[in-house]
Amino acid sequence: MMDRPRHQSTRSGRGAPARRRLGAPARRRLGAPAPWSLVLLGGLGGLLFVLPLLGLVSRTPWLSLHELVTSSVVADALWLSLLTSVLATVLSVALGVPLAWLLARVDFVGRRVVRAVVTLPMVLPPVVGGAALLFALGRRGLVGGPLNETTGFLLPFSVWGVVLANTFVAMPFLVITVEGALAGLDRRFEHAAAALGASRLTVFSRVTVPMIAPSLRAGAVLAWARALGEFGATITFAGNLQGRTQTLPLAVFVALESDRDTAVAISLVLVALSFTVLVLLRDRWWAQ
Amino acid sequence: MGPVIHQEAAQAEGLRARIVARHESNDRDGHDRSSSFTLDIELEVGSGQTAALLGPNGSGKSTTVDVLAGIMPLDDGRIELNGRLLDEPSSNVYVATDQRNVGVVFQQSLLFEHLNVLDNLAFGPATNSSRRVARQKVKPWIEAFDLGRLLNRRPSELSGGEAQRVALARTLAAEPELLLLDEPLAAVDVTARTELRRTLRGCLAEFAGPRLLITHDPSDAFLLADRIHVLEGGSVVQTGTPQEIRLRPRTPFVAALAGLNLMTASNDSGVLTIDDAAISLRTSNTATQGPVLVTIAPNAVALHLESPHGSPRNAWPTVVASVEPLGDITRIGLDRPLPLSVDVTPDAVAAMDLRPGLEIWASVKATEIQLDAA
Repeated sequence: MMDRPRHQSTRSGRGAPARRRLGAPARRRLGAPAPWSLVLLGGLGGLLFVLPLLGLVSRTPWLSLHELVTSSVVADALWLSLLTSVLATVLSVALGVPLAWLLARVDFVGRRVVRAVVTLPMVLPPVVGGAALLFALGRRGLVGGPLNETTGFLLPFSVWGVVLANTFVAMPFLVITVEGALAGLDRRFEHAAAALGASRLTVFSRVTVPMIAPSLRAGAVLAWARALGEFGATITFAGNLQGRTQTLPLAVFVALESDRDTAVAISLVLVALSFTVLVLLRDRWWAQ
Repeated sequence: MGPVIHQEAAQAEGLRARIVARHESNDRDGHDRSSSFTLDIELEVGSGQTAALLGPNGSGKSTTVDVLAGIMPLDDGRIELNGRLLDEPSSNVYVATDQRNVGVVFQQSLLFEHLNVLDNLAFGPATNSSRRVARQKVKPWIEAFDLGRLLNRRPSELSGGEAQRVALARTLAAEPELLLLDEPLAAVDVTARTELRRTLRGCLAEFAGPRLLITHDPSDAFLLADRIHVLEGGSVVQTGTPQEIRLRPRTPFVAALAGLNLMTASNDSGVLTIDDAAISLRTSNTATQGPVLVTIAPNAVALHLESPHGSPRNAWPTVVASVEPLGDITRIGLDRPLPLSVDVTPDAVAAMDLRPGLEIWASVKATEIQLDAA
């Protein structure tokens, strides 16, 4: 069935495209046309995402773009954003995967409460999260106070403050994704590994984690994306100091009030960065 | 004192277990709640012995595997392997799965997809030695199971039979003290099953410790086990050698399970020499040569008071060993030279006055002897 049309098309020259369309099953549109109501609503939904991008592009000062993007404010913010978002992702994986494992595999008292608290930052306004971080880890905070008195270490208004704020809002995405994958994993593979003599830790590192790798990557990408765009918790907890705690979203916010062109340029950098990473990762990792 | 200690050591060899555990139906629809019951069985398997736990689905077989492997704790009873206590709720002993040295071969081979065949095999040895040493350690198993050309493959690239062979080798390479086979042939297609069964038989013979085969398939149990425990609704309803189970089934379920006469033989151009029996039979099948698996249905055998006329080629004099009424039919056990189960009607029993010790003739048509390559 597949071969004949191809054969014909090579022989019959001009008439080939039409015949190929008829013969190749993959090109045929099967089924009734999509209902117009769904097309309309779905199209509107898509427009909601396309339109702002068009707006951004329409206001872009293309001639001075290079100069704007390479200014010290933007360069500082770009470097800081990359550094802190990557560090927050690493921290989210290092702490979030074991946390997800505990939530999925260990039946401890108060598991439901812990799960709810862990996912709270996903629904909490980030500003509130930043404020809460300040009360806990700020100079006079619950833990931050004693920490500052004994070691002199101060989290707020430091790069580590930014990383912590990013991790706070980003890690729940990783935990949720990984916990879901753990719940869906056939436990008999872990049992088989244990029967072969593997301790729980060995089972975790050599069987469980490799088996949920696709979800782990997806969760890490989600967490990274969330960390890159973090604004509220960061500005509340870590402040807005250029070169120290001013990430790209914060720089955009400041620039919007004083220098629109810079704001547009930074926004474009963020869009390009996120878009490139998401497209690359989607093809490589999410295909599974 | 010496001999006493020696005797105790000998007694401690093997698996001794009294298993009491709640069996939950793993029926995902949840409509069959009634299949939850308490499993309560006793098992004793000596080193070098193969026991089979034979039962239908939902009889408690998987729960037995889970508690022996330590995946699930006992509710009561005790499990002792080679004198070492593995689980005893009353004395608060519970040894975790990875510390038990119980090797399990599961129905689905459960090979790790992220590892190739070689690293799957080396998984057990790698838990207590370096990966390089582990790979060395599995070499004899690669040869024994003829896995050399599969080593770089991923599990998804293996056939069902190949995957199960790898799973078997992987379990043995971990050097377990007890070999637990959980429906090892059930997920394998019929063509691969014959070969895999032969491999299994070979590896059971090689394995020095106690072996427990969990199966719903009577032919596996009858062919591979020295002793069969028939499990029904969470209890062992009958225990015995395959022969005893076949000749004296105690429940209709066992009778149905044990209905088939299975034996090994060698086929030489239509002449079947039955193993361990001083008799040869004629078969119409000359295609399946060499070692074969012989199946004779119990209703394919005819009994006669005198040498049957028309001389069907497969007729021999024998003695009635047992007479068991099983509802609509009566199962007759035949003695040497060929111990077969024969199903006859109660009318025939009365007409021929069949009773243990009676000398009779048995016959079976050459076309009714089913052969499979063994």
